Amino acid sequence: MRQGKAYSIEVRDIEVSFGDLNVLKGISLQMEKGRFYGILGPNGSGKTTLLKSMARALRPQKGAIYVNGEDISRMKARELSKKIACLYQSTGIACDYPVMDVVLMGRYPYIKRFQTESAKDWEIAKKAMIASNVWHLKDRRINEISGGERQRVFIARALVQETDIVLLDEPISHLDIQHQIEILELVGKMAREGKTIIAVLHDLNFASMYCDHLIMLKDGKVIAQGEPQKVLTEETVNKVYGVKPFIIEGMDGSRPYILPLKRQGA
Amino acid sequence: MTFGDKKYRYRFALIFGILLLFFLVLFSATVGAANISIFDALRILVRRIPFAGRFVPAGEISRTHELIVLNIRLPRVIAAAIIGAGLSAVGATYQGMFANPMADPYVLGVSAGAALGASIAIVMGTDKVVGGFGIITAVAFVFALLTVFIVFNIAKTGVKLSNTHLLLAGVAVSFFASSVMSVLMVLNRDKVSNITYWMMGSIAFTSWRQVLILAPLVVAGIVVVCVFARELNIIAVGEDEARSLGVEVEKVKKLLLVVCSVVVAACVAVSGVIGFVGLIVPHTVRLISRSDNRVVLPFSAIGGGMFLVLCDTISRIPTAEIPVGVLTSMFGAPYFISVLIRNKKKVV
Repeated sequence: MRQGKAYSIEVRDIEVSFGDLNVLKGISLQMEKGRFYGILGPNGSGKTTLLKSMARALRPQKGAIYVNGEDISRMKARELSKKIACLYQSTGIACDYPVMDVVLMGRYPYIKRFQTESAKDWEIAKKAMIASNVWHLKDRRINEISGGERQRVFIARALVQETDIVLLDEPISHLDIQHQIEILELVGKMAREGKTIIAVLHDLNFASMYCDHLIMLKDGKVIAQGEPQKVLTEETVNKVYGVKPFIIEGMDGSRPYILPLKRQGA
Repeated sequence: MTFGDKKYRYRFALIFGILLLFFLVLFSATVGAANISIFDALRILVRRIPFAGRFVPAGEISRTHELIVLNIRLPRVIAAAIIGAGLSAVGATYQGMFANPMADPYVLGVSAGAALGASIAIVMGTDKVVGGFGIITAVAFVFALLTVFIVFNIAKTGVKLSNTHLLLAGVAVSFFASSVMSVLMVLNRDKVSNITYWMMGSIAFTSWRQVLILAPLVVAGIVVVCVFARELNIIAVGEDEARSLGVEVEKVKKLLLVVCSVVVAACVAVSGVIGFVGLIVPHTVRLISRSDNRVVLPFSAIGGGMFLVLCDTISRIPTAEIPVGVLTSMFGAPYFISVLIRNKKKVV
């Protein structure tokens, strides 16, 4: 067994490759409870692969991932799903289940075969839906509601799963700004209430505004990590994205705001 | 309304449906070419039910009539109920699992494999009966399972089973089996009508022994599928999502595929290719109620049973019996189209 402090989630030296393509080349991270982590990086840098490895949707060829000191590769599926919830990029889903039933799916790991949802499961679902402001949608069908509403329904489902860790793959892509802010505030609140939140994000400014800790990936490696003002520097942004930014510092406390500049000669 | 709100209503409807299917089977056994009155036929049937039978006077029922009702009609009607239920439940499962509305029980090549097996047996002229089973039935069953096994192995990549690969491999292997069958037919023109008739799907000559093997197999299969309805619902939202909720997607899929394949292979081996049941019944259930598999699977099974019993009853009315596989499409398609049009109006 490992020694020292048991992190909420610890990634230790993982490598993932698809055929000849090495997507993650030795990544190590330690994440603590009650914080909001943002994973940033250009397309193809390995963000989603990292997230999927943490959700055990992928098995790294090398290295291991620990939740509270426990190796996730040895856990049973239901056991793991009581520790980590994962929201994938919500594609327009092809089914017409009522919102309430979708949220109740989050109770799956807690319900034995030949059992149905108990009154307690319903109470938990109701509480989660009120928290993520979707209770009024409970009888609507999941394919009828808007993208922002649907994302909140899936967050309610993650809450219902009662995990310490919630992973989110681009939770605010394809949403308009008011919904982006709504989702990030909801997720930030979940972190303050004690969950470990890890989200893949594209928008550097939203990441800067809401995350406690940023992890910048490029070509399957961690280029920089730490507080937003430490990571979102002119040098790092230029190095990772090949774009020269103009950085406004301290607009929201000490969090930087980034304006991408037109490339010379373009 | 969510599933939980309606749970008891669904249970009630389910029990009502099973009873309805039971009475439909009884009624269907009283219909047929032989000149037996419905009253006499009912008497013959009810006398065989424990306890209730004591209260029915024997009267003057001829032995032949009794034989016709009990040994010819009843097994085929029960076979119709079971095959209809099995095909519909499997169709509903595949549509859910593959997230593809066009999936029917035969997508993985079961029917083409069974047909190839049956034609080989027919061409070789083996119409012997071993232990209550025609050789044709046995060979069709083995070939059906063999075909699905090949399809599985083509589609498998590591531990994962990709839906697209499964469906494409199923189509390719089906076409291959059909082409081999066509060659057999061209080379054996005298057997073409036998093979074609088998392909049309008929349950006219089902024996009790076939029913006794088919029934537990199919009923058990339907129960297993219904038990996994919750997993199927979650998988339908997304396979990655299902995994993160603790559903062992690959295990569930493999188990259901094996169970479904055995059910369909058994049905096809007994009845030939009865089309359309596995496609329209689940969709009708979905259009009328909802797409929750906890509802769709059991009601598809019951609906499929009723539908095939009705079609089989109708197929017995004309003097020259029409294969039931033809009737399912003939009556099923217009009904399905009407439901589709009604629903279109509802949406617009």
